[in-house]
Amino acid sequence: MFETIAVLLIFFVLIGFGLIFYARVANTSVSDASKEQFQLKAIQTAQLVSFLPELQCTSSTSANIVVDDCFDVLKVEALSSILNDSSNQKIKNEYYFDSFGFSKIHIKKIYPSVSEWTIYERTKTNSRALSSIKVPVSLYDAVSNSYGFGVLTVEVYD
Amino acid sequence: MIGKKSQAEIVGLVIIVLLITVGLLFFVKFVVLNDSDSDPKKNYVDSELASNMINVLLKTTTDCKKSSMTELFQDCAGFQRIECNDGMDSCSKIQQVSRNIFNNTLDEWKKQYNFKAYTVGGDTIENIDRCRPRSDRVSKTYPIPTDRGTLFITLDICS
Amino acid sequence: MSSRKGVIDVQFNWVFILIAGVLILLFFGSVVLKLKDNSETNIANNILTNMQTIMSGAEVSANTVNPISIPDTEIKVSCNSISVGSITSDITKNKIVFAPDLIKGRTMITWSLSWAYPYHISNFLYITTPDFKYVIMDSDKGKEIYSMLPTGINKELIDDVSSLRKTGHKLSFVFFDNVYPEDISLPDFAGNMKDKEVVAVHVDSLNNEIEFYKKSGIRFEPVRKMPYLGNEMIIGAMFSQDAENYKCNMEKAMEKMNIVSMVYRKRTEILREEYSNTICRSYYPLTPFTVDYNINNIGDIKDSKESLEKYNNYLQSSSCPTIY
Repeated sequence: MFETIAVLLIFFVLIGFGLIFYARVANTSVSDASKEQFQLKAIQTAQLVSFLPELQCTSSTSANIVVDDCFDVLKVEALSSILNDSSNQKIKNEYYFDSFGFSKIHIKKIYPSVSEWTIYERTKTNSRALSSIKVPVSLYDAVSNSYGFGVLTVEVYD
Repeated sequence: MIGKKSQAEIVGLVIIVLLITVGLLFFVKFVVLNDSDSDPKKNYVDSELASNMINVLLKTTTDCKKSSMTELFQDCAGFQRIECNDGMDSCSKIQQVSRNIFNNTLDEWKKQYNFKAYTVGGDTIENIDRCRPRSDRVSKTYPIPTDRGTLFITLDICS
Repeated sequence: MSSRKGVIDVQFNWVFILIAGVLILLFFGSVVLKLKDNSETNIANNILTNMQTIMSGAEVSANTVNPISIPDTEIKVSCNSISVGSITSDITKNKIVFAPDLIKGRTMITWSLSWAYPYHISNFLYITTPDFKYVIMDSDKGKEIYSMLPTGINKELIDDVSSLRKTGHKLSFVFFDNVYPEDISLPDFAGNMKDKEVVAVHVDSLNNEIEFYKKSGIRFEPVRKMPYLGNEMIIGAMFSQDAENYKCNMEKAMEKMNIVSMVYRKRTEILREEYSNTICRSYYPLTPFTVDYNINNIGDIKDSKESLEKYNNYLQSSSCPTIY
């Protein structure tokens, strides 16, 4: 009988080892998946900003045709002033927070002149990680009818 | 009787060895062969950056008679008729503008790259090479029709 | 004595085997159940992640139709959330998704359209399955809507409801202007279908109103009237099939319209300032932007759109930068 108990004990010890190993592997894959999700979140946010109707250039022939990789400078100025206005904090903190969460969206014009706009900023004090993406964008100026070179920077906090 | 008992023990040993082998196989599969290079952000950034960079650069309006970079490239590869207000020709303007833009973007972000504009005949209009030799690269090429054949604009992002 | 001990030993062995066996079976049973639960949660999470990716994709690129293979599970879609089993994922405020409340089967069709009124405001995402058929009553507006629907979606343009044949699909009828659902009797096969499987909407294009109907026997009964702005919303009503879901999405669309209009208003102010000493200035009006973007204010929004279109045309013909 003692032999049987000993065999069972070893059997359960082996099973236990197996389970601990499985749990560790599963844990690592969960943490990898969450890291990947965080990186994807940054990509998704960058994509979302690139295609925001509030910023995008539209074709002069049809409002339905949008120009790729292009922001309208006047819209950029308008949206940044709207979101930085204290009377519109509800839009920033509720509507845009729902889409962008804790992140910073910044546009810098680097040619022909230098200027910068912070469209949205909601930082996290105890952030564990930061993922940043830079996307080159055309900046269309309707007044001078010209395209400048700019960079969209999206920083997402985890 | 003793022979039977030792046979049973050997079977037990074989089972334990098999269990340990299967465990090791799992370990190798999940821990040692874990693909840590799958960084979705890096893949996205490198493939999109090259195409976005050229796309946006070519669309940019310069201070040379409000011509776009595409028009300047076409003129430089063609008969070079454009003369800018500051006395520069289209080829010098291309160099000035593209270097300004690359200095403030890829150089600042410490990205290795190779920007090249060349004709089918082999003439090189612009070549900024910041790639280490034999490094892996993601490449994007845009063809531009000119008076003297097709001009190719290539941007390699190296890693 | 020894034989008595032997008997007890044998009995004890059986009891021991029984207890150990039960314990081992219980242990492995619980492990299997846990793993099953885990894998179901994983599948649900995968589906929801994929759905979010599809929605994000639709948000950035309009006019794309995608038939997507899905595991044979039930996906519940509401205006603000999407759920598989007990796992729920939020649909953010900027995503406008018109879909039936329950998606079942192996294939799901997603389709997106750009909504401009008059400027581009958002992309609407429509979700359906091959189980649904959209039956559109023939009229000018009906033809317009029919031609907007892509070929991958089951659709039929009919003159008379009696010409409809049984195909095994759930039916979604769309009536226009002077043809009302309450005036028609459904064919027998449709009358015999479950009430939830046959729905109808009536579009009053003069008043920009959509009325939702539910089936009762072979007749339709009105449920609720809602406003609409543009054909994209009519299609939204057809796909959502439910007045509450449609209303919630319409409110989301109005919120987005309000924000986009604020941006265009500010942009127009900047242009007005820039061109203060030119002929262009008078074509940069601010009054159309003062409208209250609310579902109860459709008439004013429609007027504002027409006014902006008019000024934009003036600006275009005067070679001034346009409003949108």
